[in-house]
Amino acid sequence: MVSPDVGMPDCKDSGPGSYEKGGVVSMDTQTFRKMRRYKALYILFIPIVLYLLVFTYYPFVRGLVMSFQENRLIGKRPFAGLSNYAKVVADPDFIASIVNSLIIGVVDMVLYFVLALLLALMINEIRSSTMRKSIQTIAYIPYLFSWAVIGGVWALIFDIKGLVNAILGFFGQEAVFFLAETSLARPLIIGMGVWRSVGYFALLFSVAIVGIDPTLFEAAKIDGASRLTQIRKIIIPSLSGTMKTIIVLLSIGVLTHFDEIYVMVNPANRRFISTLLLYVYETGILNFRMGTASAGATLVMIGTVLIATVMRRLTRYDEE
Amino acid sequence: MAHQLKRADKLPVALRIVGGVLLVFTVVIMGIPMLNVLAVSFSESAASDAPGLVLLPLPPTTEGYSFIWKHTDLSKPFFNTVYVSIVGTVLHVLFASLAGYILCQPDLPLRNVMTSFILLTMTVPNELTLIGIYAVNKDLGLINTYTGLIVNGMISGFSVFLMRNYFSTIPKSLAESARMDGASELNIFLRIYLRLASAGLITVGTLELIRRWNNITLTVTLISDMKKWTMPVVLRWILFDQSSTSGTAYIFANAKMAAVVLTAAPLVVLYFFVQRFLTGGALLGAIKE
Amino acid sequence: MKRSIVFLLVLALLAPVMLFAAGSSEQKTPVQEIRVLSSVTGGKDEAENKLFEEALEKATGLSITLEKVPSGYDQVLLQKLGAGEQYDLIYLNQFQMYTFASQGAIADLTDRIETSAVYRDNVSPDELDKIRMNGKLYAGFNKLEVFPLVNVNKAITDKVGIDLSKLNTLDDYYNMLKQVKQYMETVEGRKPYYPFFVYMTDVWDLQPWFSSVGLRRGVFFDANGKKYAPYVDDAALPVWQWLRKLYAEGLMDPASFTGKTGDMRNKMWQSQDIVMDSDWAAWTGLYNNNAKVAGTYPDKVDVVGLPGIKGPDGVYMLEQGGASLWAIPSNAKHPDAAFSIIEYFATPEGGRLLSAGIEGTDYVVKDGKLEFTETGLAHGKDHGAPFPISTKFDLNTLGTMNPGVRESVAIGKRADVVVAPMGYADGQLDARQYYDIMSKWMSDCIMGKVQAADAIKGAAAELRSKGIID
Repeated sequence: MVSPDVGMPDCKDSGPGSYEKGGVVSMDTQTFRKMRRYKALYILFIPIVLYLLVFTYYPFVRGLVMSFQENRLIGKRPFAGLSNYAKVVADPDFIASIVNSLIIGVVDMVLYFVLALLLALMINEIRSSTMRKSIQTIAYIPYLFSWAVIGGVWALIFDIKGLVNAILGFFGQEAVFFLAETSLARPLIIGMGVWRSVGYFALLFSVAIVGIDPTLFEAAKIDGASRLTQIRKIIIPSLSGTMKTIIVLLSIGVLTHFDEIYVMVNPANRRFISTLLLYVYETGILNFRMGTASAGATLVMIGTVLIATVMRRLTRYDEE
Repeated sequence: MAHQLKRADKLPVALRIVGGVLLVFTVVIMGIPMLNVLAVSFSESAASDAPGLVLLPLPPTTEGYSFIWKHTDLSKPFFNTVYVSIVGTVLHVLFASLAGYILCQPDLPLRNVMTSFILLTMTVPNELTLIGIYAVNKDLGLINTYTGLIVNGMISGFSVFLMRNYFSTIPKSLAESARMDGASELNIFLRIYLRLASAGLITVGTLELIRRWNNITLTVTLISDMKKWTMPVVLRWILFDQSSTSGTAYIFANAKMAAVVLTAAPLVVLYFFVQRFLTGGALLGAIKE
Repeated sequence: MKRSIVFLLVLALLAPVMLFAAGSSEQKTPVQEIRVLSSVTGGKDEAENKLFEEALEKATGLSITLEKVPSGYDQVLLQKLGAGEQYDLIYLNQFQMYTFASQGAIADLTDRIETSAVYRDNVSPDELDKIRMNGKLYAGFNKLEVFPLVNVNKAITDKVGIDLSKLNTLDDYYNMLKQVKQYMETVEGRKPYYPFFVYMTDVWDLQPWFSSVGLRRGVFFDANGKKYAPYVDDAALPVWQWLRKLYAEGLMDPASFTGKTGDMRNKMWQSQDIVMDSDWAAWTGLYNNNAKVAGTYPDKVDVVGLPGIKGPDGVYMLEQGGASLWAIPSNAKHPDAAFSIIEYFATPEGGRLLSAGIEGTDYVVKDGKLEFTETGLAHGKDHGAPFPISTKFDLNTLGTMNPGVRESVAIGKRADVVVAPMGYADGQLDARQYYDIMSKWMSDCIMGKVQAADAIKGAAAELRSKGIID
């Protein structure tokens, strides 16, 4: 292990916060010197910028422009001002779908994060490596199937004659009509999301846990620290960077739940789980109203930017 | 050695029991879909359509698989998928690590602006770019080409930020001392960062490979030539579009699930194999040599 | 150092550029190439699609490119047209026709169709009226639409001792379901048994029951030009109440609200978990044919089609499926040629191509009769239109059909049966919203959360607030 005080100061000493603020506002000589030093990196960043401009920003701008135009698929699209936005915002269904999106999205984000972290920590405590690998693989498997397949199996499990009701029946409970029970609509959708994604995010944590410098554990043991203390004092702090990254990535997904809703929606649960993108899909895309769809999608994007920015600030993502 | 030491001590008994029970529970509920899909795929045609959850095929048969075999030639879509997924993933990981490396420099001026530039691309919903994506690919002549499937999605913020995270766990002192020895930025990136973050690279690569393998929306957008179809598109076609309402064709559930298994199986195998590199723990130890 | 950076940069830039170059010299179509965008219509695979294209070229004398998008068609249609691709002929459904027409995206074909000798000789004016929008025609036919009707498993009702010909009222059906439930639960010990499945999601399968009060699904214009929805009329109350009673007494499968049509069908023929549903006429045959494969036909499964219940006017009202159509985009380069393809699809020969398939591949002609090859049988005599639109097309030429289909299809031709489409309100209906509102209130009513009369009022109020009815 290279001792930390060799060479140039590493990121922890360099006070990234001060650079960030000073660097953008006033280009002092120090900043210039840095930029010169990192010239190569800026040059390497150019193809990335070009690529994203062509394949993401250009299509995005086209969509944005369409949100200010009338719903016309072929030919010239007359300018429509803000009328598409006005129509979307005035629709009570849109407002209802904001509420659904926020509830499902935020609870999903918290559960994905907490349960994935717990799962990764538990898996890390398994001593047999074959067991560890097998459990990780099984936990990850739901992610390999499409939502349509997952939705089908989920429906079978919670069917009136399904597995869960069979278990309930075994304990003398009456069968519950899970899929149409309105109070269970959101919990079931959230559960399905967790079910499919928890193994995925647990993997991201696992990889970070495995990367922790083993000498830290050796030192802790010499100090007589218990395993629980090691988890608290070594593993959790070492994961802070990964946690920040995952929180920011998850926050981007808060308002964009669609597929699991699409496969599970029914007349009984629709009003509780219809999300923003389902609204955009059904009122806009399904009806070939691209102006409406683009306006709705742009609003979703604005919301996502807000949420992501808040999370980025809260987690101090840009400071290491 | 260090690996064994790390695990020499244990958690309190009560916690271990709770953890064990939770893990068993997780395995059971996570295993059900896999078991169900497998069981149905190995059921007899008529039996496979029985309502309810099947966890054991009785009696087991490969009828579903042979039906799929005769019904659709899957070899071409399979190799199409392998080709576009692997080439696309390699390029994707290359760019993700390059961008991640750039963004993990803590004192890089304009870093926040660059981060925002990439972060913003992640917030655009697909619904907003449906037509734009098609138009770009049409203008670049990428419609009905494998190249189109490879080039689209070559850079994603998701992978960039994961790579940035993995790189940032590597001690900066290593780079600095190499820099003082006169190593070029490219050499530092290739020799130190890529090597030490190989677990991260493999993780991002695996996730991307799976995403590409299962990608339907993009394939449907770009490819209308059935010769160039990929597995998931063929799968969806078999699962949903073939049993048309007024038509006369009928496909039993065992064949449908056989198609699901055939599509997912390579990924499961790959994932189990790749895990060797993810659960190692020997990676950082390697620096010490 | 510098050299290596330049190298990497060049590599990064070149990779995509080289790849672009490889694919860019495509899609150079000759001047007279007719571009057709199709969904289900065409060959079953790439090779057969080529043959289909050739057959179509031979028949019309045109040079045709038939692009078939069997999966994700709506998305592709949106993307291609939205991005400015030019097609001469596109496949679309009836809803899409209304949307496209109101956006000015497809050409008005009224004059062409009304002066077409082919259409005059082959297409019934009734069918044309069903796709008019404000009196105008914007598309030609892909096929003749069939209809859903009541499907009952006679193997079970026979065992219970029920005479299907005596089912004439809502009460008759109620009693039948009750008897079946009792039989299955006591004699066969299958408890709980829910004999009736009605796919609620689009309030899709209810027409045979609303026929009893003479009402149709959708939105229509009344004499004063106001939009109204018959299903929320006060006269509809008995049907809402009837459905509510079925559910309360365990005669309706709870999965009706959450299940997919696939679940319903499996329960019908595979496990016989239900004895009755509403489904397409073609499915009467598919149920029996599947059961045949499983060895349960006709002892356990013998599905027959029934028209439902006669209304006050003495007719059975069944609903025709939404039309599948061909339209000419407003930016088409060769509308005349495109229309000649529309005409060809309306001829008996075109109908044969769309159903039986390609001569020499799917079938051969021997002594004036079609003899299907193995490929042809595997393709199920469906290349876009199992029932061609031409009145001169003889379905008998297609050979044997699945057991029960012929009888079910024949019901639609009876004098006391009226098969008509749902009310599209001249294309003004936002179907998605109508379905969502209706299925929500109906589900609440049936599951006992709201009284039937209140549910009707609630649904009407919500439809009105959304501008779906006046």
